[in-house]
Amino acid sequence: MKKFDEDYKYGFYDKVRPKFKTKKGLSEAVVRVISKKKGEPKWMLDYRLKALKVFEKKSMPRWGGDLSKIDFEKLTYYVDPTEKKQKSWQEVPDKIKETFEKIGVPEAERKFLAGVESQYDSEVVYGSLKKELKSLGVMFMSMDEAVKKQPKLVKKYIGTVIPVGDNKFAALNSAVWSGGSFVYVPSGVKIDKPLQAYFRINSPSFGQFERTLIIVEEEAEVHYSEGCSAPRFSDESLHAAVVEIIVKKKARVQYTTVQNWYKNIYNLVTKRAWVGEKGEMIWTDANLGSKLTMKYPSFILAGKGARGETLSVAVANEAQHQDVGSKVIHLAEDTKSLIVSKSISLNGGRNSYRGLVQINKGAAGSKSKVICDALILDAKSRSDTYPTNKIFEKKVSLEHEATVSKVGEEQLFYLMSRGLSEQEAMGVIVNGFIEPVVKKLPMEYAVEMNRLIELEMEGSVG
Amino acid sequence: MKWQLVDKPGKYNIKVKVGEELGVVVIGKNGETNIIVELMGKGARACVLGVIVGKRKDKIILDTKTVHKVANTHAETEVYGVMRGKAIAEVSGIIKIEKKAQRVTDFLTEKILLLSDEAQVVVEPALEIEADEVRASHAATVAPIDKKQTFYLTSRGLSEIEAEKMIVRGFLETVMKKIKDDKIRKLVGEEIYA
Repeated sequence: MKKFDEDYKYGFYDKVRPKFKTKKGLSEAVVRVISKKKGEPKWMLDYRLKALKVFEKKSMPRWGGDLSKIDFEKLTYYVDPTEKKQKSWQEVPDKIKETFEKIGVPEAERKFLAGVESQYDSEVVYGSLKKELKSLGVMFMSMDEAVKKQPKLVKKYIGTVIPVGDNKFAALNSAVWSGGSFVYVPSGVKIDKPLQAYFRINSPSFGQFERTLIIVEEEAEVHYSEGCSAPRFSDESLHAAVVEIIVKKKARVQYTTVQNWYKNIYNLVTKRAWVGEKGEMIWTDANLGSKLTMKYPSFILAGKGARGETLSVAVANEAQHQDVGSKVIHLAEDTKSLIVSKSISLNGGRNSYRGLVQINKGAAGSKSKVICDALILDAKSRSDTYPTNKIFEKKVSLEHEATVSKVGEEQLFYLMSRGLSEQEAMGVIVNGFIEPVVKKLPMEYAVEMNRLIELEMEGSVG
Repeated sequence: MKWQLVDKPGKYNIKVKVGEELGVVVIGKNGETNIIVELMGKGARACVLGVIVGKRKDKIILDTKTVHKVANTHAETEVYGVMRGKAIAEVSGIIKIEKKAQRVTDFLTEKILLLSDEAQVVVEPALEIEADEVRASHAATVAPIDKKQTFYLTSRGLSEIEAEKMIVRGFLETVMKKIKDDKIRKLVGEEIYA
């Protein structure tokens, strides 16, 4: 067995000198500096300070992956990028365009995209709202901007789906958040093109704490997607984002993530959606990179007939642990949830599915189905499944199934007898295995996903 | 194949040696029952069958664990439960396949039938797999009686109560018929159909 190519495929980073960054470590002074630098109103500063206190009191999660190496005192909590906000693509500095080139977003596609928000360190460098969106009354801006321009909406919804005290990392995010997107879709507006945000981390030892808030009014629809590809650097780095989504009556939201952080990053994300009557929330989630990812996209099905779906793929390569899954809480009648999780462990990587399905009293007629399939490609790798199902209502249906297996010898033999090399055959089988999830991704993500899987598979056979 | 019955709450550690085949029948009762079955030797096979009948204010905790210490071992666990009254059941199970334990198969099934509006159920079927030449899976379902089944039986002249009884019996019979020891099967039957 060959060792996985140590040279990271997306291991580049641009030298951009930040205008300003806070001192390492976390304190009230640091939080005050961040808020002041951003020129925030007092209520936001108060929110941050309250969250800091909660963060200090909360203990580290004792489950999931190994978090013992995270040293909160060695992290930088805020970095201001050199670049000012750009108005159009032409004005975007070449250096940054280059980065996009390397991520592999073709020019034509970029233009097609509804509005590209690229996060360069903690601030949105480039964010252009298409006129079309503007005329529909859709708001798509950085969270920082929203605090100033839409204080009423931010104040009304922030922390309502994921309260400050939800978990230690949500509290940390609430205290030091920077960047992230704010999306507001008015009643009845259906956006057919996905809204995209590209994330980059670009300073060593720098934690990134985006805060995203998406509010979708009644009968409105939106598909938001984020993709990340972080450059290589040597220090441990922390990414602790919070994503809150409010899906109102008969609204529909799809949130797609293709995560490919560099292999020294801790990716500890809290994502949750509140779904109203007959609303629909879909999480499509692909996790390839990072050292440790702990992410469980969740939904609270609060309105009658609400629906939630999570489709996820996780690849754990050498020295990686993907502790991912999904959580659903059925609160209302006739709510439905579907969770499909596919994982691939290779070269000593470890995948853990961790999930929760809770059906509360009163949620009669609810249905939940969870399917976890895991592939283990070699003897060094590991795969776990830790589902919890809590049923407090009689008239429900809950199904959970999980399988763990290796790639079948017969399948490999068949493909190789048709002229494929072992590696190609393995690639075909793995891509077939994740197909049910990939086909739900937007086209460009599906293409990228297949390309990334092939890259990960390199050197894994033979 | 040897069979063994566990009908009292408590902690049980059962070891299955080289080439040994063992059946463990567990009746989950009010209290906590922990079963650990360790497959210690090549060719060891274990079959764990659990039955739970929750009623009134029972709180039944049943935890099963099959640990594959070596290669070429097989285990399967099936837990079937019926919940009445205000009973609470916490059914957890884990399949643990250690690194050296290649060429292993293990399946875990947890099925609960809800007969009461006030019963509460937590099911946690888990897997921890460190070897690659394995086939392991688990499945869990929680649901009330399928209305179609009741309809079918009542349309054949049975009362609702008789129909329910018959369906419950059929459900539990799936596990019962896997108990190959006549004496134990009889004992379990007396216990659960009482």
